[in-house]
Amino acid sequence: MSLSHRFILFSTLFTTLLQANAVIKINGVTTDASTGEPMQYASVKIITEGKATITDGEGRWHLEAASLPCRISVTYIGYQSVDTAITDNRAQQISIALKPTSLTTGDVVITAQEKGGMHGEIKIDRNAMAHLQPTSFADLLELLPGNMAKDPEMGHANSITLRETGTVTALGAKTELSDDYTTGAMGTAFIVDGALLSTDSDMQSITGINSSDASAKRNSVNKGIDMRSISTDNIESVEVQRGIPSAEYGNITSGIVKINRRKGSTPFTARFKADRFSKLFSAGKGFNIGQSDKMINIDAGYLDSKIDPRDSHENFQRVNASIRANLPLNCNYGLWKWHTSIDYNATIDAAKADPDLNENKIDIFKSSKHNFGWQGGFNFIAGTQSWLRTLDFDASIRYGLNRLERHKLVAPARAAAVPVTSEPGVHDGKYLMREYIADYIVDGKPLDIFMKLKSTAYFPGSVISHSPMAGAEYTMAKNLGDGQIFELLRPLSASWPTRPRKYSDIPAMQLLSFFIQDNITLTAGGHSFDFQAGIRGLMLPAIDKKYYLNGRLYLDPRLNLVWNLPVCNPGGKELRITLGAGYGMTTRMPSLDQLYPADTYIDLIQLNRYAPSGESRVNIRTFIENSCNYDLRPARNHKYEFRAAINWGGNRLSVSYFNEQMSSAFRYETSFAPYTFTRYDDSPSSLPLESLPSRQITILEGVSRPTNGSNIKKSGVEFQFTTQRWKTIGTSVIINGAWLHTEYSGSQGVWRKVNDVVNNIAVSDMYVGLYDDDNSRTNEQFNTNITFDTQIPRFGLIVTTSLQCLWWLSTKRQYVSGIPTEYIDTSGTISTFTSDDAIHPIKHFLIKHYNSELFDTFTVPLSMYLNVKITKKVGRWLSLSAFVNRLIDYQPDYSVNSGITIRRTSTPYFGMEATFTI
Amino acid sequence: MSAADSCMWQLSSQPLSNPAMTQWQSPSSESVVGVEYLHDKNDARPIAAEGSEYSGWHGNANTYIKLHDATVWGNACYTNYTRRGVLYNETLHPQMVYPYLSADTVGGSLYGECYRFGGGYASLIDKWAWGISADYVAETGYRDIDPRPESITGNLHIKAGGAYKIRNYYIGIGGNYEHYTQSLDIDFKSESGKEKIYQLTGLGSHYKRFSGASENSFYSGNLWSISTDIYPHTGNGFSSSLSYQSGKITKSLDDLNNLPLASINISAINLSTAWINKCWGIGFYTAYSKRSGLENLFGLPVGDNYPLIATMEMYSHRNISARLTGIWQHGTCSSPFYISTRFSAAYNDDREEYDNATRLRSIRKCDINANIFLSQAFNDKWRISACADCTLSIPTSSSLILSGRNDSDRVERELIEAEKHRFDLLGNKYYEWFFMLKLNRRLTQKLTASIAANFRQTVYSANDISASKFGIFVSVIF
Amino acid sequence: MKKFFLLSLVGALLCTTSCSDDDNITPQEPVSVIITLTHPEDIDPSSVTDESVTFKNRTTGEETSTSNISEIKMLPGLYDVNYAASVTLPSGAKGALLGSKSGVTVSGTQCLLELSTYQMIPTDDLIIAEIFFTGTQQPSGTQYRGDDYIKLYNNTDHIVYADGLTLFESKLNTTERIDHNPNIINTDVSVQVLYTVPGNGTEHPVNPGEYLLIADTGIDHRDANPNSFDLSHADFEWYDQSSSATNIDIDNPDVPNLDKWYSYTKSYYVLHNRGFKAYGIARIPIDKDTYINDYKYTYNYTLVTPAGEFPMSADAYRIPNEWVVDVVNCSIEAKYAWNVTAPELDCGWTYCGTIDQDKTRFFKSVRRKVQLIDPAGRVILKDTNNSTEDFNPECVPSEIELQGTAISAAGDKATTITYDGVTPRM
Repeated sequence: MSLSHRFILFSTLFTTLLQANAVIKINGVTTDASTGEPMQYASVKIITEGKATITDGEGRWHLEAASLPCRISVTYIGYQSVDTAITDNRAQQISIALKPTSLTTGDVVITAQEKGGMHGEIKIDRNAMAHLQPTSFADLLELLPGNMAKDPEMGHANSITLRETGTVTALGAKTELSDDYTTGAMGTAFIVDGALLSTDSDMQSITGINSSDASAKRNSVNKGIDMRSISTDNIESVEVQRGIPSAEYGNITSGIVKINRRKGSTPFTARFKADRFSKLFSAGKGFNIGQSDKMINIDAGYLDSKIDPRDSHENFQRVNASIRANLPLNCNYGLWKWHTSIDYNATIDAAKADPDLNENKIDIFKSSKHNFGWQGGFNFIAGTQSWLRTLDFDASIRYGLNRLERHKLVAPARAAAVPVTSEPGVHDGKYLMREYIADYIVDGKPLDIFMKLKSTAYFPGSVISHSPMAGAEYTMAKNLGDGQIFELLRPLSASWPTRPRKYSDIPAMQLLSFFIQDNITLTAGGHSFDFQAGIRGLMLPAIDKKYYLNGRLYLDPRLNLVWNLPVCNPGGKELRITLGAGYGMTTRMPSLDQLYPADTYIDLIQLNRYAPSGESRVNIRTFIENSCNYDLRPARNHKYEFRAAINWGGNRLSVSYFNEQMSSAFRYETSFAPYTFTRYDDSPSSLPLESLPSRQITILEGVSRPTNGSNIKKSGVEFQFTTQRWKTIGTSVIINGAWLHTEYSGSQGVWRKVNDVVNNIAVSDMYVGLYDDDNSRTNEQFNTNITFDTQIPRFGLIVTTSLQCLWWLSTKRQYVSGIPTEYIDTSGTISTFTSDDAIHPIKHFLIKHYNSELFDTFTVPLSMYLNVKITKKVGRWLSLSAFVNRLIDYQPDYSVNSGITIRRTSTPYFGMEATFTI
Repeated sequence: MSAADSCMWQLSSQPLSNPAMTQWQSPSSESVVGVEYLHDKNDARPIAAEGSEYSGWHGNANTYIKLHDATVWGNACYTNYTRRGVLYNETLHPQMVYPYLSADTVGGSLYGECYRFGGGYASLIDKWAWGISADYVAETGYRDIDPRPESITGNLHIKAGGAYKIRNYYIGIGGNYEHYTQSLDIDFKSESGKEKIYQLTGLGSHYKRFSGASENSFYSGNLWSISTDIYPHTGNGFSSSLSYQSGKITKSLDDLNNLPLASINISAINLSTAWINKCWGIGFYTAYSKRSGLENLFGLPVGDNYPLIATMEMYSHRNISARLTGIWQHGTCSSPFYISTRFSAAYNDDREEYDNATRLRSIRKCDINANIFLSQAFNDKWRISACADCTLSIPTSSSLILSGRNDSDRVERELIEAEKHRFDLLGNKYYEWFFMLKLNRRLTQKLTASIAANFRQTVYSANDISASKFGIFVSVIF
Repeated sequence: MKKFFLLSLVGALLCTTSCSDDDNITPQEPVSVIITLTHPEDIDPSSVTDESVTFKNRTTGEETSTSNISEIKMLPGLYDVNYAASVTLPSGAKGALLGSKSGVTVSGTQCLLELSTYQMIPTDDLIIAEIFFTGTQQPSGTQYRGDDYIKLYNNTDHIVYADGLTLFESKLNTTERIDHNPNIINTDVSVQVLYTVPGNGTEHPVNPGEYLLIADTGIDHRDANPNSFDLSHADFEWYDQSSSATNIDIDNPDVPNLDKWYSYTKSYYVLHNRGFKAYGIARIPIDKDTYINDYKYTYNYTLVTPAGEFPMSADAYRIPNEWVVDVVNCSIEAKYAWNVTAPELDCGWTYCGTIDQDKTRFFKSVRRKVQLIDPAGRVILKDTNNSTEDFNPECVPSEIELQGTAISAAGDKATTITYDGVTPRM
């Protein structure tokens, strides 16, 4: 029997079943006409019979009508309501698309919209991005509550911070994240069109280089995605989930950034932006293949930005190109949608000393990353008959050709001894006296494979309906590069605890996770409860036995509850109140660099005889230490939050309180051990080494290992209030802001050296103390952004004036006594620091002295900026935009407790943009 | 031909700058989008701080739309320019923040970008007219050899005005507020060290104590002005405007915790009256402006905290000017043939003093200017316009005193040479020629293409050096 | 109604901005300055003749001097005051009285100024002739360290033995004034480095008119830096034992080492290369261990920073003024704050480079001026304990002149030969 026959039989059976009990089941789906996405919480009413229900996460609704025909009406705030008549229920699903009211009056939504959803999602769509005129993804964060407008900083890697104050110095100045607290940025997953953008295999850094080197600032290892490399011109919408994520997403700590790129036929758009730092050009086009709904999108972009226009030798370039195909395939059991895309993204960081300025001085830094990505998968949406509803499969392979080059003329200010071999034991080194050219190459070929299978089902019920979801995810991260290559005799700097190392020797890191979750919606008397409970399991299947993580499965419970109170309309306007709460745990596995760090080489000078006339000799004893920490655990974050959203006649207010505790974040910490070597007398003699007068010396040396030693505790309140647009002056007001309280501290003791010298021997060679981390800080800030979004369609003009106020930013260094809890001596034994150690002639130096004023709270008072953005449509195909941040600033002088008055000034950041849509 | 070309409009430019009255600037809507190239070669370099050569590309768009009861105007402009041969100056806009410039003895060229956008709205409801306008100019300039200044300036103008119609004259008041900031950051990329940055204080002197102590400085200024304006309803008749301006600009040194080094007090009064009718007009303009410079003296610092001892008015620059202009014109904007001639005579008394007249520069001179403007349309597609202008400037009395010098200071010797050079040029006779040729081609009913070239030459009699300036402007008017 | 609202807005705009804050401008009338002098006890005031006071205005750099001490009128501002007078001693001989005070604020209607004077006594021991602290540059422009040196000179007419002479560097910076207590500037010099010339008292003679060269590292620096010069002929070098591989000091066995009493740094000691310190020589009568135990000097001061006022304490050593043979204050014009020694030891300062990190300061040293050359050809250097008068700033170092080596990173060679950087040597 052919397919169609079977189908007719089935449906007649189905209808006869229906007539039997005189109740007619009607169900359908409600989507957003402008984006085609399902709409949750739309209210569906049978007008003739007064029955009503609310659509669920997939936009589905289900009603039982007493008789046919009947009229149903679908309404949703901010959208035009739709009434349709239903004559017979033989038709498949009744799909109703609602048009946003803003589209009807030519209004454009140019701010982030708090969706009031379950996971604290906030959505930024195409128009908001176009009006913001961003240079890279980092500029979009201005729209999130708690963030303020920031100038693009293309000179260093931009890591994302969600719901954190970020690192604050003692003087209240915000700097980029300190290396000890980057787990929040590392734990924010970027998901592009369903596939994870992983950075676990990126190892482009020079181990042991000092922080002033040009490569240190651009090092994004263990710092998550470098947002400079993501262009915003091919993005349709961004959804940032800051709350308790659904079980579908894992290997994260703070949140998810879902990027949906432009799909479907779009006009040819070209954009050119100029500002003080950079020039950006991008173009894109989407078109159908023939008449079918198969679509192809092509776009490309180029950005060249000078870090400081005065220095033409330091710049950052980004090239990105993408071809995406969407091939929906209808079959009578449901809708198959294949999608596949090929991506190319390159970023080139370059910084070179000006040769003609410093008399032929050579100091070149160039880091180029060429990433190629294939992404594909299918989404199957089953018909309404079976309980199985959707089956999604997404896969991606990303391969990078990364190359970091340092070419530097090194002039040792004073003679330095360097080892000449990578082997341990005693060997002769060489003196570095004259200037030499040092070449250093880091060749990295990161390979990331990602596969995810997800299936969802739907069991409708009149009162309770379930839509369970289950799936599995596999990621593999491997670096096939040649690693760090340099000549031992020509190192970049004299004191270097490292040797050349091949990355391809590092085993691959495989991550297997599964998830299962049920979404229960319960409607009773106008109230509707949406309860989501899920479990995410996560393990490293193929890791070596020596690691604690071997064979351990980590389970993340994820619970979310949303309670919609019955809709009422006081004062003639519809009032809708939603309350929400959530608790969950998120786990982040260590990255490849943290599981397999480079070995540490300790070179101790045994003989240092420099004879300008005779033959000089330097003898070195080298110890090689394995820096792996086999006891390393994943970083686990405990989160709970409460949310409330009130929607009264188009004016929406959403408030959320969150609290996150993570006490196992990653950091590199030093641990000490005794090393014994023989120190020969340096006086000139031609005797062989053994017969020189010598003495055995034992000193303590440190090895830096990855640990779970950081605490990141985040709590705060976020709010966003959006008013309806006032027709007279065409303006709507958006007020968002946040009170953020973040504590960055050490969760384990830290070993620190003291630098006292007692009769010519350094105390740190004999004793090293274990202290509380003296770099722990608690930061707090409260900021509000009031944005007036004025739109005058008559002149094609959109003007946003945003008054951004940081009411206060306070930072307090946590008190440390400075007295060590334990100490290690040259015998290697660790003993507790007793009171008589405190008066011991040498050990008393271990006590660190802090001025009490160091632990006072330092508060930076109000600073207020006015930012203006203007977009003007000129004719049909050109729109000119201009923006000025800090047009006017109000930063009153303030005096600090030491009596100094601090005066603050700020400079505007401005730029212009032209967009052609033909 | 656009209204702006006709000379008559220039006589009453001051009352028309009141936003309430801008709606009478032109009878019809007009939008212009164009690209302009300017090149200014001035080997004489009268003002060392502005360099000897300027070449810049300007892309600008401005629109002026008449609605039935209101007028809307807007402009946007992007400029990319290079200024060469700049000496003894690191700051942008020296004519705005003088005499307190930051200077070095190396000099060089300055690359700059300027973003300008603004707009206004004016409405006319029976007897009442009101208008508001706002403009923002942001500019950045930098140099790529040591010492490398980078200055970022922001200049916000907000104007508001209202007028009431009595018989056929509009009598109104207008207010203007200007907020100016400039941050100057000087960087040194050479590893071997830095150069000395001097803080100038006027007429070749500099603040010795802090010379080389702080490279980065910050200027912030607030200026405001009010004006009373009268403008004839029909555009013909008596028009006048009296305005008073006051303001203060402060310079502070960033590296010494934003120490307020010096401040400038500005006050100015200007009066412009004119009688215009269809074919002739007479205009009289007079202005008095005073700029006084106050220097702060400091005691011994505790850390970076300098106690203030005294504030002394050391510098003053007073200028009195008056000009009488007569215009005769035949034809109107829309007539095929238009000709206008303009004659004006001006008197200017400029006096600059430092440290109660131990240093003095005073120049009194008269200028005579003649201008002729012709515009002829051929069928309804082409129109050619031309303009010729010549000015003669004859000083009546000029004196320069630069006493109180110590010659051991190399910088002070060079600064005084520059002051003498400037006095030689501006204190003696010089004359100027100016030619302009414009070709308009109507493409469609609403769209007209236009190309205009102009050339200006100034010859200084003192050392017979000439300065030339030419510009090409290609635009589309719709 | 809307019109009224707009007109009132315009009115409000005008009146809010009309009141500009008026600054209280001080009139340019001079302020009368009353000086009270305190002479040393053994001087009877009546025998003091031809007094003169010079006021150097720190803001404008002008110097005005007057001999009429009783009524002086100066414009408000910040001044450095120097007093000089000649006096007939009880023994009938002629002497010089000096007095100086820096950072005097003249403001208001009247200004009282106390000034203590002292008698200038010429030293009868070695004096510092030259200090080369800026170092040289590599051909690539980067800084090369290790070729600093100090030259001592026997200005007397008899043999002087260098044994036991201690070279020291001041603890306080001449560019950062801190009010610390206990403040011993008038009685002692606070030091952070002490190197002493070894010997039993007669081993290291210096004849009249001869030099003693003390170098940082006594090697031929030209093989490490072609722009440098040869110091292997130095009389002494200071060497620091250091165990870390990165910064090791080089000891040339052919050049005798100074005896290291104390040094603040764990690695190797170099002269401050931007010249913010005072360098000097002293004769310490007691032995090393008693000095190290008894002459410790700890002082407290408050470090005032935007982050708060931090009570700080610092450890150093002190050398009583009587033991100090000669001292030279170095500083730079842009940041000079005060002298770190008592005025009677040195009431002036000299410099290489006028601003912090001045790129013209390399390959330059400060050299003491020639006062006269006696008929036998022996050079007498000027020693009035006033480094501003006694020293030529920013000269070509004597060793570079003698060896004709490079005087700039580009490598162009020295051509002149001089006694003191200015007066040419025939």
